[in-house]
Parts: sequence; structure tokens; C-alpha cells
Amino acid sequence: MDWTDVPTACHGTGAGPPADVAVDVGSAWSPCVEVDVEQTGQRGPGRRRQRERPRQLPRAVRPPQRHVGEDPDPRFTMANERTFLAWIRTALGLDAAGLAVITLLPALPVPYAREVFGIALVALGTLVAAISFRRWASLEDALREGHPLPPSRLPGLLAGTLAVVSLAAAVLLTIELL
Amino acid sequence: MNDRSRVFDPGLQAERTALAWDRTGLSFGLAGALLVRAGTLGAPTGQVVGAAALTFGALLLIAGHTRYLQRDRSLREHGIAPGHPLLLATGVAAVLVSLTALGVALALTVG
Repeated sequence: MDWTDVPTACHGTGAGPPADVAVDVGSAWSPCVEVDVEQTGQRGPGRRRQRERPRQLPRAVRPPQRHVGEDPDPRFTMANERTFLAWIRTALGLDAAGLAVITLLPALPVPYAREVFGIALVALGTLVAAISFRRWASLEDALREGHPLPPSRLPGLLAGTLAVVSLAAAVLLTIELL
Repeated sequence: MNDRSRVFDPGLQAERTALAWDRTGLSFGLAGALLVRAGTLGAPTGQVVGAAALTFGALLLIAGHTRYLQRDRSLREHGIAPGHPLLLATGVAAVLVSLTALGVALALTVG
């Protein structure tokens, strides 16, 4: 399954239709579509494709762009992979915590408080799981191209949500004890 | 960068990465076990997906080790491929487990 090098972004120079290519109005030309090698001659022989291949995969599951930049230092590739795995474990941990809250905890004084906490944790886990792969792929792209690593709002969101849930749980438990 | 005469990586990156895969496999096992348990309380889908998550966790333990052996070899020869199919599968599996957990949580709340 070789969809690793599906062109996914505009790169290189001359991001307009080649002058000698008759642009077919019906063919949805886009600057982000890799242009036929034989006509532009801009790419090396190892990179040539015979036909245009527009981007196909949705962003959430699109793999890193193996056809641009250079292979990063393997240590960075593995560090990025471990970071991805750490996010996956975070997601699974949030799922587990949410399920445990709902199934193992005694009922709290406020009706459905237990369920709301549990569902909030599992929902956060779902969000983290859904973003993890995309995040890994964009970091891998940045490493390949030597760009600064893109920032992420996920750690802040995670910390904020957990703080709110924890605080609310602490308040409810205090009420229960009094 | 990948000179054969050099001992690769005093930082034991490949080993740490293999251990991270192991922990992730165990996390799938834990989440799967909790899904199975929650499923017994009235959401049978949770039991099915939980059992699948347990199996996937076990497969990750094997895959992590296999991957380590491959990488240790290829690092000395020609660098490594990022290997997205396994990562994509892991990400998708985590999303499926999460969505099932969400469904089970909602079912237990409503039901």
C-alpha cells in the first residue's frame, strides 16, 4: 500500500499552471496537485509520477509527506513516535478513568454528577485520540522540512478540562463528607 | 549519519520506543477490560469492543517487539521509515475504543 507519497501540499517554485500545458477547465487543476513530470521536467527521475494524483485522504488520517524534505534524524522520528504513543495512552487513560467513575464510584450527592464527570472524561479521551495521529503526521512533516514544530492547544485544553473536573469532584466530595 | 562502524544511539531510543509500544499495548488492555466490565452492566457492545481492544493490545506488544528488532537492524544500515500504517491503526483503534466508551457511558446513564 503505497500512499505515503501522495502529494499533499504546495511546495517548490512555479506554483502555477505550466505555460505549455493546456489547462482543461473540467480537470480541476490545482497548484497542490503534482503536475505530470514529462511536461514540467522539474522533478528528479526517482520522483516522477505518470499521472496527476490529487489529494485523497482526509487530513485526520493523511500520512506524512515522504516526498518532500529529508528523512529526519532517526532519533527525532522515534521521539515523535513516542510522543504519539503517549497521547494515545493519555486518551485510553481518560477513557478508562471515565468508565471507572461511572461504573465503580458510589453515587454523588448531586444527581447525575458522576455520569457527567465520566462522560466528560471519555469525551476528552475521544478528542485526544482523534487528534493524535494528525498531530504526529504534522510534526513528522515539520521535522522533514526543517520547520519549527507547530504549537498545539491540546495540552492546555487537557489541563484545563481536568482541572475543572477535578475541582468540581473535590467540591462534591467535600459536600458529601460534611 | 548511519555509519555502520558507529554504534548507533547511546540514548537507547529504539529500546525506549519499544517500551512505549508495550505501555500503549497495556493501556489498550486496561481500557478494554474496563469496557468489558462496563458492558456487563447493560451495554453488550462494550463487551465486544472491549474484547477486541484487549486483543489489539496484545498484538501491539508483539508488533512493538518485532518493530524493535527491525529497527535495530535497519538503523545500522539505512535509517528508518516512520512506519505510519501501524501508527494509523493504533490511532484509529484508540478512536474506536473512545467512541465505544462514550456510547457505553451514555447508555449506562440513560438506561
